[in-house]
Amino acid sequence: MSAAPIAVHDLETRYGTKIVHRGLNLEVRRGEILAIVGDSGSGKTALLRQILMLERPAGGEIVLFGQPTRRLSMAAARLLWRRMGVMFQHGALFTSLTVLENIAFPIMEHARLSPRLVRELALLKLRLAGLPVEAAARYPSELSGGMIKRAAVARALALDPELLFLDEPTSGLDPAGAAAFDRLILELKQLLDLTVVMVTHDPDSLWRTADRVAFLSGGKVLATDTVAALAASPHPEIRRYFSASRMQQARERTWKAE
Amino acid sequence: MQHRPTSGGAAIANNVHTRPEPARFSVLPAEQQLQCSGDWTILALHAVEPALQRLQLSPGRWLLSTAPVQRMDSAGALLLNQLMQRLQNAGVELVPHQVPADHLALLELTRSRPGGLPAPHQPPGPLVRLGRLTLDLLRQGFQLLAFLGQGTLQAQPLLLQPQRIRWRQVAAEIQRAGAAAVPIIGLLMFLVGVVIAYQGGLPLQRYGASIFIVELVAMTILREMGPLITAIIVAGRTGSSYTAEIGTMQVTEEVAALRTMGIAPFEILVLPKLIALLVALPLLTVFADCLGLLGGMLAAQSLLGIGIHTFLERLPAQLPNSTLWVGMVKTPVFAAIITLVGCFHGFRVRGSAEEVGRATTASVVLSIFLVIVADALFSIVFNIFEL
Repeated sequence: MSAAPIAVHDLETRYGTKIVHRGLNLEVRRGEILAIVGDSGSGKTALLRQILMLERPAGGEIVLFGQPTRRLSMAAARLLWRRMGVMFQHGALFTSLTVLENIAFPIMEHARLSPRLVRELALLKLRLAGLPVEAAARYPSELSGGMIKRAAVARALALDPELLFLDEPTSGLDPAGAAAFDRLILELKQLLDLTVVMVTHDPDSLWRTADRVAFLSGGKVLATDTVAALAASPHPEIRRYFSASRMQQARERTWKAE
Repeated sequence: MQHRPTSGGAAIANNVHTRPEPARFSVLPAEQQLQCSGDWTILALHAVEPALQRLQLSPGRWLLSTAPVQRMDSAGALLLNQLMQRLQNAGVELVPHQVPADHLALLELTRSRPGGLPAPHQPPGPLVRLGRLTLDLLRQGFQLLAFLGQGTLQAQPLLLQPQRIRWRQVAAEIQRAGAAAVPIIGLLMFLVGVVIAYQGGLPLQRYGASIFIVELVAMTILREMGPLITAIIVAGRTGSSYTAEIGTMQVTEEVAALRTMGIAPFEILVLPKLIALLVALPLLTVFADCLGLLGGMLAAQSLLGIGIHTFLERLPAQLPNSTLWVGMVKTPVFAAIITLVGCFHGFRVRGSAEEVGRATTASVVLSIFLVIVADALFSIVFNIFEL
């Protein structure tokens, strides 16, 4: 159909004198789950923030849905934002609103629908995210870590985005919770025809969900491939990352599961 | 890598895809068909929602066609599901006829399941709210007393070993609560002095008793206005910041972290503030008294023609020393009230950032209230001792 949802060309990012990205290239294909991995400080979160247009790149170009974003008017950026849903690492739910109000908030702001329909829609998203109806009236402070993540996903899906961003979706979840969350992401991707970009540190999650993995190092994407291919890569840095014991165990677990 | 201009042909072509086309539907009575077209997405639905809510069809079997729909999302599917449900109750069977597979999947996904809406919150009646408020106030009173007791117990060993007190922090707090408040307190008290002399001077002049303005200004400022206004400003300025600081630490679990390190939060967060304010508030009050007298003196000179010399001579001659001490005695009590209430409300914060704001308001209101109550009690006690 249209161009790749995200194409990053020669991205440069600097914070003061610290260079985070030097000539980074990345392409996200429609309908895939792309995981961005790399050591701490390799600029994963910075890349995510650049793609989300929260920060302006120092150089290079990020093309979203075929539209270059470097010099975008506020109105055009807003149209792009409506097509993207973001789940922040700690949920970033509005503490003064209940879960249902959190989900309904972007719908209320953008769509001109009756309050009843907005409520129904928010409840639908709540259900899709696997939350019980009783959670609707609760405040974020009354939720467990796993429920906060699910509520954050439900809010990210409020406007039926084409692109879903997940920042460390399984961090802070117990293994069972993380596995359930990964299943949820796979299911939602299928159901809602999403393209998912996730930053993750969780090897299990990587093996379970990612179609492709972009490995960030030295301010560049070193390689983009399936997890299995990356794990077999001869490149020393990628080897080091994937040979960490946790990675090995995760791989064995997934194989056994299959 | 070349940069494509944002307003180029490519961008415009993409915009066509970005801006949704309004959702539409049409009723074809001949074929007994309901045909949808346009974009049935969340941002395009407002065009059809009201009309769909009102739509009436003759009972029987109708066909639903969504083939001409360019895009559909869960909001569109949900709306169609609601329509089917409503029509079914009116005896109309709306059957998907020309519906692409992906639309069918969305319709299946959004079919409402039993359970439905949770019951909306019933706001409690006025009697219930009054009861809760009363209980809450009582509980708060008890908690404040408990906090005071707990603090005293924890402070006692420290006061016996003064070298264990964090003097550096005390100094920083004196700077923050005392020195930084000097300009605003000076300005306000100067104006208060002017106002008192101005308002009191005119009636005195009518009786030919202008000279008594000295006693009037000095008594009011030294005994009441100086200590009270200083305490109120400090409660607003410093007490609130104590609450916000401790409340934020409570939210970020820093207070819990201190506890697990075996450090009593009271010792590190409250005691230095208490000592600092016990020092700073009396000093600020002396300064406030001076500026208040200065204001009154200048106003007396310009309004009543009482010279500065006369004023300064009469001041010690006519007023007992106790006038100053009666005012000053109150200030440590005010300082303790402000610190304890501010910190108490900070520690009461649970959960979210929003709580911090609420606690800050509550803390300022309560500390000003208690300061004025304490002032009234002092007046009664002084009256008994004829001071």
